[in-house]
Amino acid sequence: MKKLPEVRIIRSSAHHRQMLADWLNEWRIDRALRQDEAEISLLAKRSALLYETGAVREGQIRLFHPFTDVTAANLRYLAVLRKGDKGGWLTAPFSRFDTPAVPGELKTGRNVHALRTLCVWNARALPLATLVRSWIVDRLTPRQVAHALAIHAFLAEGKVLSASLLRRTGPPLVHPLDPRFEYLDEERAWFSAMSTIQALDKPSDASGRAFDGTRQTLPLAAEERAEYGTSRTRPGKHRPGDKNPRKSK
Amino acid sequence: MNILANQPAIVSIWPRTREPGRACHSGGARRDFGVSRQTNRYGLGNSARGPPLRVDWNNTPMAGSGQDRSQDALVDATTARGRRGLPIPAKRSWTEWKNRCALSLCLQPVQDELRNFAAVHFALYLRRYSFRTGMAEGRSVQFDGDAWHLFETHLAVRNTRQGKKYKEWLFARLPGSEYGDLEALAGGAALLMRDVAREHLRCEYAPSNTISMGSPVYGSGDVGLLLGDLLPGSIDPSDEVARREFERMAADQARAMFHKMEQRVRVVFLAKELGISLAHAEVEKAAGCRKSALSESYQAFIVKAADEIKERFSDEDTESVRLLTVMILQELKVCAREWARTSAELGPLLSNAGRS
Repeated sequence: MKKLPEVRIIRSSAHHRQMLADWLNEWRIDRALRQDEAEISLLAKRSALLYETGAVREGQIRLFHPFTDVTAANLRYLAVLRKGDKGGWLTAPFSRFDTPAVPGELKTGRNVHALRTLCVWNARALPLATLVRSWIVDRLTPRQVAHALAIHAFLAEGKVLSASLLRRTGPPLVHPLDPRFEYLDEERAWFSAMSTIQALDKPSDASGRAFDGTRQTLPLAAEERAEYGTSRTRPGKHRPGDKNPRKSK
Repeated sequence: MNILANQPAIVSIWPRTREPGRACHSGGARRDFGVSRQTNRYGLGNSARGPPLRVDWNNTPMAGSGQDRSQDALVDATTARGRRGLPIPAKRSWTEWKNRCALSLCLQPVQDELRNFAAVHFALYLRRYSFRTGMAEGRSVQFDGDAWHLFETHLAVRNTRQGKKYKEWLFARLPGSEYGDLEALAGGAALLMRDVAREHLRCEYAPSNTISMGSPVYGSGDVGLLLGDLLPGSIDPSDEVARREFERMAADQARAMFHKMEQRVRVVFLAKELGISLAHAEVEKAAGCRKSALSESYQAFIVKAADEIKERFSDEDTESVRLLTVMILQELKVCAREWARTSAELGPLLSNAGRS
């Protein structure tokens, strides 16, 4: 005997079915090729290296320097979407998959495999100290940035998305045992860690050149150092009787 | 022992067992492995890099069906010397390639060395895929082409020095010791090769264009999910009365299920609703068990719940039952939140969610 009310169910679109099947196929390949990354990479990450980073600008596509376990084991690209509060920048990582997994992922329309899908759902503000530990590799067009921000507004504020843009996002995620949850957890974990990671090295000047941990940038033990609580590097240069003593910051 | 005494322009795995390949999803034209012998989809003929040479897997320690030994065991068997028996190019070869931008501009020995490296690792990844996805020998993965060419084309973001920062990434991993540098370069390049293999497999083994809702979902294991379970459809928005009736039924069913639910499963639903990781200390404390046990209990509950719903509404059409199942499972999270509000011991969990 029927117990449910008679309803007309609108089946999911063929477009979403195809997308999900494609994504699951990529997930299957990814799982099959997975191995002990620590073993193969020997955790060859470095905490302080010399590199040119360039000033951070909206629309930049950057490749993370191998300074964490995740960024040492994979090429991790991200897009800078806009300047955020408190000196940080709103950034979103690119997916390693060709197909958007969820409605918060955007098919960028770019040809290069590593830059085809942008994970706007995982967007977060990264501090400058973290962002400078990456290389500039390319730029998003202003239109692509606008699309990414529109999806961000859609996710964060519930703003309406155009049908054409909606079509470039992934299928809905509703079932609690959907394998995409595992993927989302993994992605969220590494990128949120990037937003909270403590800076081990800082840009030394506006050009973005970072400390490299070598003799030229780090003082030796025998060199004169600043007094505690001051920013001076040569204590005693400014005597108490000076007219304009340098103030501590 | 060098398993590649000669430089392979062609690597065949499980030779002479060909299966027509699928069309590249984004590449446009179809290509069958068994047909296109002269020019592959990357535009490289078999003779593009010199005379075709084959890796004779039957004479390597990796020979065998691959069905009775694990991939790792096969690779372990190659451990004669060096990096698990695999070739390790000299650091100067990598440096020359980096400095000269493209391998074709390097000296011939360097080209040979790096091509060898790429071919071996690419072949290993394809073989790993075949083994782990349980492909029978008759459906082996094959590649007739220059793996190094894929390496250089797939990884470049743009055809400029800026677009090839993956080279910087590779060299930024060097720890600074002689042996460490060699290992880091080989390890890093092998990881990059994995990305290349992933993309190649995606193109060659894309799902067909007609997707059935009854297709099984990879990775759902014993649960046996179907594609239709993940995309259940929605109620026609014009039928407001029916939609509300569906929601009411889902809420009633969820409350009844929640009433009988174990505490640890309730905690999982709550954690999911609050967006807290199951590995969080407060979650494990509230549930009284570790994350792995929580995940197992959660999965077992959902499977059981779905079976119950299916049985109870066995006379209904599949689409309606799928939709109802998802609605009930969503409603269980709401029940968990209401339960947490009335439970003093879950205060830390709720306040933690508030902070995050």
